[in-house]
Amino acid sequence: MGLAYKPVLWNKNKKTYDKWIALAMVLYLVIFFVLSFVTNPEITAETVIIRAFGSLAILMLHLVLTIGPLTRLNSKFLPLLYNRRHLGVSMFLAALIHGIFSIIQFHSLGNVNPIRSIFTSNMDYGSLTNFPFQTLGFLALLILFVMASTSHDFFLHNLTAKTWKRLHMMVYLAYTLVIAHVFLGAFQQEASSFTVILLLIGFIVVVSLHLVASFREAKVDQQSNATDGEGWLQVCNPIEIDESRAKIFTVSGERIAIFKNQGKLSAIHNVCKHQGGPLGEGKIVNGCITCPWHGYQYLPHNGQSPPPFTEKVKTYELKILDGMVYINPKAFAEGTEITPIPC
Amino acid sequence: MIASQRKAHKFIWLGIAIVIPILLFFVIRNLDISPAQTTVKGDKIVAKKVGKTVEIKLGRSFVSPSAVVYELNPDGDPEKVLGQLKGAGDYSFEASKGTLGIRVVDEIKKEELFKIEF
Repeated sequence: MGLAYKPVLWNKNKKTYDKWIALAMVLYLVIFFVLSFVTNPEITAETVIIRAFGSLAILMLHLVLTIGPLTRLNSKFLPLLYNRRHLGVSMFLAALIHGIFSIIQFHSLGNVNPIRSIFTSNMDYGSLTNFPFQTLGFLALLILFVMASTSHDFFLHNLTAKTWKRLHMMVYLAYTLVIAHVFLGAFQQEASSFTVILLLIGFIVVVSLHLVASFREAKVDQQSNATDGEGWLQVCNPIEIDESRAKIFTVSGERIAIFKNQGKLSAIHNVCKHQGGPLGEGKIVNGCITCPWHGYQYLPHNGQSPPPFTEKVKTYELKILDGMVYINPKAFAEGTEITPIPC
Repeated sequence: MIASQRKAHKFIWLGIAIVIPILLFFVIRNLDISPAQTTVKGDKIVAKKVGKTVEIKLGRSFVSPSAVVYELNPDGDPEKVLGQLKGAGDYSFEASKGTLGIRVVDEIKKEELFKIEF
């Protein structure tokens, strides 16, 4: 984990998901090619490649963007989240093929540098209806390239989880650019109402899911607990927490996981240092809290990864009063030892 | 996610939900989509102007060996050649913004095949 870079293993489930991704991509491309040539025999292979890979990339981008909110709304979608990175990289490869063929087809036959040609062949930047939409696609492709090339755990470890997450939140800018690229391109080149309607549906689904999940989380964040008069917050009855498992509570806007280990309770910050996985949804394995996403481990009494690893999360103080569990909302520094309380 | 990331996600998606529809509204409002059609010897020919692009949908090839497309410009402006129709299919030509329509001419026989005004 923290001492040296160690990749997340490519286990059997991951391999199965990767096979499904590859199979679905090939199937989509074959169907697209057959339908294109059947409905329009005069269409060129280059045009079909550009359209097939472009539409595949945008479809996959929509899937990638819906996984996050779906898992926040229903934990049954969690297995998709574990494999989202591979789906994202595959999406980038499809977008890259679309981009390369588009540059070859539209910008490589003149005497101007193809990349320069993207930005200068149409200078109608002041127009909405004739805007050089290819520039938007090119910028989106650059962002997706940065994301795909830093998606490996090596970069996550070296950039730190916070920086890495900020970098990868650029996908939202890429999505906005892609939507504008496709809408403006569709209006200028084809004006196909089918394409526009399909994109609108995709946009509504993605935005709605994100907003619903966000507002639901905000509601949870605003939940207030009873206090004991000294600022400690009442959270639950100890019997509500199963042995070797946790319950997650919101304290001062942050999610805290209270674990029960051998009849004793400990509280740690709910967010795993690796990729922000929800520790409270994991379980205790061999005395260690184990993140359900990639198996990163922490000791319940001090929030530290077992030696030789160095990850640490904040810890919280607990007490039992009148048969109820209370938590001190003031977090201790990451890795601070707190004696578990018997219950 | 930590609290600040959850908040950032919420505001980013609120921003996208507002910005994209506004952008689309202005694009659609500025779009000048003018479909028009004519019939030549029983075959329907549809022409559409979308922004600066003229699209022509041709169901069947012409008997005439030459079919050159001219754009119809406002009074005083000379007609500009947009391209040639070679067979059945969908064509897209870049035209002037103020174009009024198209005229397709058999240049060998010097005969107008059809004219469509938007």
